[in-house]
Amino acid sequence: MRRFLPLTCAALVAAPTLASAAPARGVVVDDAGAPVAEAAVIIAGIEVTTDAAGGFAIDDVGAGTQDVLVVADGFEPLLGRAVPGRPLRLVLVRGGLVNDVELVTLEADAPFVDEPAPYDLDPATVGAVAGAGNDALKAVQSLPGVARIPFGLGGLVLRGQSPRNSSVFLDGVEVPLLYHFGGLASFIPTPLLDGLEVMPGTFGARWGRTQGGVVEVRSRAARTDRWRGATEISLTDAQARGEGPLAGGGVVFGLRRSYIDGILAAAAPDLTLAPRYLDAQARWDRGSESARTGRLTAQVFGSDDQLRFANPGDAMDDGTALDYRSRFVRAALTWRRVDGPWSATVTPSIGADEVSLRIDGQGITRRNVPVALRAELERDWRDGRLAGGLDVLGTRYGYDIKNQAPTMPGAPESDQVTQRDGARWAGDVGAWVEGFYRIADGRLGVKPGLRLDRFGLSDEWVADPRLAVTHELPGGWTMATAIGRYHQPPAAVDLDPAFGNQDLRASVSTQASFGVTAPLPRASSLAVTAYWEQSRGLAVDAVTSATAQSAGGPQGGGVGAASRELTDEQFGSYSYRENTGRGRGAGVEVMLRKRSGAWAGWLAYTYARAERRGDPRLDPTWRPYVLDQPHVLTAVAAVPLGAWQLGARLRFASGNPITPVAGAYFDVDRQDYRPIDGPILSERLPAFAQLDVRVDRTWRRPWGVTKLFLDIQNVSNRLNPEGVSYNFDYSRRSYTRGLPVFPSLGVEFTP
Amino acid sequence: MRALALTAALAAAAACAGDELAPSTQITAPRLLAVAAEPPVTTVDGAVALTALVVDGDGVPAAAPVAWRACNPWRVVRDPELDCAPAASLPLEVDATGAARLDLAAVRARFGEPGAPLPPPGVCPGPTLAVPVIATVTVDGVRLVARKDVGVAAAPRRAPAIAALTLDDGPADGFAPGGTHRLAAVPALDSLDLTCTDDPTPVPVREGVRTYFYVSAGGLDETFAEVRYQPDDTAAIGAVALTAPTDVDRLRLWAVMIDGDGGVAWAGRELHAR
Repeated sequence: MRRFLPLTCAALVAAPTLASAAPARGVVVDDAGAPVAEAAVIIAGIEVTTDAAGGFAIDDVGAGTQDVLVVADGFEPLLGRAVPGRPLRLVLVRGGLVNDVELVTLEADAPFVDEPAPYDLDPATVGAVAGAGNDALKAVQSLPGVARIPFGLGGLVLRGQSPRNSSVFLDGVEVPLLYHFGGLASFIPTPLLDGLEVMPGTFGARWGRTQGGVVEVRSRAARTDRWRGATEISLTDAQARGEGPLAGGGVVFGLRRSYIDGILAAAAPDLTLAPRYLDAQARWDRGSESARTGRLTAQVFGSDDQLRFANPGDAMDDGTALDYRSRFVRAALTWRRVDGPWSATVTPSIGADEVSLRIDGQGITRRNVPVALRAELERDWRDGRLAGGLDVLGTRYGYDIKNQAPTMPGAPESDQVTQRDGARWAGDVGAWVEGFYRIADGRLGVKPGLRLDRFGLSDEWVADPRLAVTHELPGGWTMATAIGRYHQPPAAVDLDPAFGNQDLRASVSTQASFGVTAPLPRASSLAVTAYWEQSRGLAVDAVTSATAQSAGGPQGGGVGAASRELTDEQFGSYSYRENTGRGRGAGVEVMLRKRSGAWAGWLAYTYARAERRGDPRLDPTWRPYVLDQPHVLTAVAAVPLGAWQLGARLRFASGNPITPVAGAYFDVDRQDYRPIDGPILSERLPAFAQLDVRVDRTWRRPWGVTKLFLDIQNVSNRLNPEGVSYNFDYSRRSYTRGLPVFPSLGVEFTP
Repeated sequence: MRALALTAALAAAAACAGDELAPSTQITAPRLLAVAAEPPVTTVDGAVALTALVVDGDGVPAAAPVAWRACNPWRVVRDPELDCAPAASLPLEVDATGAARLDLAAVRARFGEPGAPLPPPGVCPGPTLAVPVIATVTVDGVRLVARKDVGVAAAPRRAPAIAALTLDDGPADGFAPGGTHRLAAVPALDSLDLTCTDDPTPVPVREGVRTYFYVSAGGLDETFAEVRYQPDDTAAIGAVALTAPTDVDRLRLWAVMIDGDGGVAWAGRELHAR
């Protein structure tokens, strides 16, 4: 069962010191001589997957005899030793499943746990998560510490922190927009990923400028034995991928485009609003990090979303014209070199972002140009290591805005529309250092770190000390304790030249966590983590006292609040804010995971509370965060049945807080009713529950591998309440329901 | 923020969910449909007469007494009962004609002077201050609350007048049961103030109006229709479509016309089945 190949394989097969590079290539066949596709081949700790012809290639293993491990669905595992440099022919014997592998018999040093273990996903696991639609960043929402977003929209709420307070990096380059149209798909297809790690809090000094959590996404390098391509077609989009040798290295690229616009136009000619998304990625690698010239990686990725009327001149029912566009591109060059105990990585990058929303004559267009440099240097010793780095980001923030003025403190409400455009430059400079030292016979690890940042937008210096202590216990148990401070600069959108507070400063959170990880029989593990977090200096609406994290309309909760949370960082909320908000949160995360066997999957439970408070001079009450979900339970399982694989996901989550409407009055100038809030965020929507199922069928033929999947979200068609809607005078209310049963069918072909 | 409202609307629309709710254009219960201020924009020394259009559940004007109070203009009013409580507001007296009188001198005396001088009058009016006024009335046991903002500027502005209320471009007098009729309201040209186009170089133009329609039976495809003027006084006159009822032989129609600075006029008709 390749899908749930244990990640531990790579760690447990000894990885010798790479004195010099040598390629390893060959073919995996069965005992009848037929090629075995999708077998995992691990040599010197490097894992690759065989292609349809059973071929594999690793261009960078050390010289000399190496350990080789081959595992494939339906075969006995193969463990042996081989000398790279000449073609290998590895013969598997039918009759076993990967889950029969007794990996513990291998002797090697596993990496010492030096900080709270992140939650990880690999592409194969992502593909088995029912309801995630083969999308890695949507699958993340099934992990502990991650709150559920209404309507299946994207966005990451990690340990009760707003999406604007967490960051996602692809190979060290920050990604500005994770999802197409807020959740249809993430910006990069899963087959181009090597894996990802979710650090919902208490991460090390390497990452900064974010007070919430961090998701680190890793793309994969190309296979270079020959050229190959693949296609994937689903109901919503089509993608093509290719990879192979190029210019002394290897290149892998992908292109994906949706055709929802075409389908909608064909299915409903009257519906002229046409969404379209597009993304593209390319990565080229050359050299070896242990070679004198190091390893060079060039990377480009981007995304483009557009929502507009198919025919010029069309409009919505009320005559409104609309044009929405959101796109970005990043180009990065990474050089990495390992020389004995030393390793160095340098990644300069440049990009361009644009978000634009125009409705009739008003709208917002933002164009940013970020230029970044990440550089890291690390030195290993027998009992520890020392690392340090630079994290520099300069950004040109361009804006062209025409909209209604917000209510300013001490001023009456106004319908005045103001236009302003321009640009400003700001530079952020971060420097960090992190040590790690093993004591007490190597069973206790101490990892202190310090990060210094200068934030250009707020013109201030901040210092963030961080500390992680890990303890390896008998029986493979591990304890990890971490505490740290995390500053985040004010958002450029809050510094509007007309209505922004130019004196906004950074917000800061203090986080702490304590976790225990225990290995269990049959490739299973249990992780329990308790955390605590406190934030201050949050940007708060100075008029309504609504925090950025709770403002809805003004603090309505439900769908409006969730939507605002997802778009706030891109477009801004245009309220005059001050650093008077506070936040606090605490919780427990439990992750029971089985990585391989007759079935694989996990059970994730999170108890979490997140609260916010606005300006205490206006309202000292602590209120729940608009996406506060005390209980989130997710069960994910996948079972291989020959060429079939069945998967299911069951989710339960507490309903989001909402503010009930206590009454309404008629605004005669607008000829519309205005609601009067009841107790702010004092009610909750009913709990959310949903079952998703997934069926995969794989055909392996000499000419290629064809994979068909059917992913059905909400198979029981439970109409979960996601928000509250009212009649025109707010005298009656009803629930806004979530997505009904939603099938997704796709086919992937790999020659 | 409209952008965010749109996002929320898109998300809600994506769900294809939500109950079917009665349209706001249908009168099924007592309503306070409009408040007219004469003049709609006054000066810091001026006075304004306020009247309300209140109807019962059949759309017939109700003769219930309306209570009026002016709010503190320097405070954001989100909840009239909290932010403009009777004890913290300025009660307005009703004269013999049934109109309430708002005296700006009394407002200044009660709540304080404006912090800055108002911009001088001109063809393109600048920003105005606003005095929120709350009207409350109880009809058939239903308590109705409405808010009207009275503008304050360096020079007064006028309210529009309805010159014609048309049904299929003719007089609004009858309907064909089950039929669809084009419903429009035309303002009196000389009742409209000048304003400016939204171009980088403003050009004087008649202010446009928006007319909201309400019916006691049948249905409307839109809540309002607009009339927009060009600098040469030519106008694009919008209309709404009335789907006439089949189960009643008469209906009440109300048109509430609002101009760009809060001026209000209304007209009502009783339509009979032809």
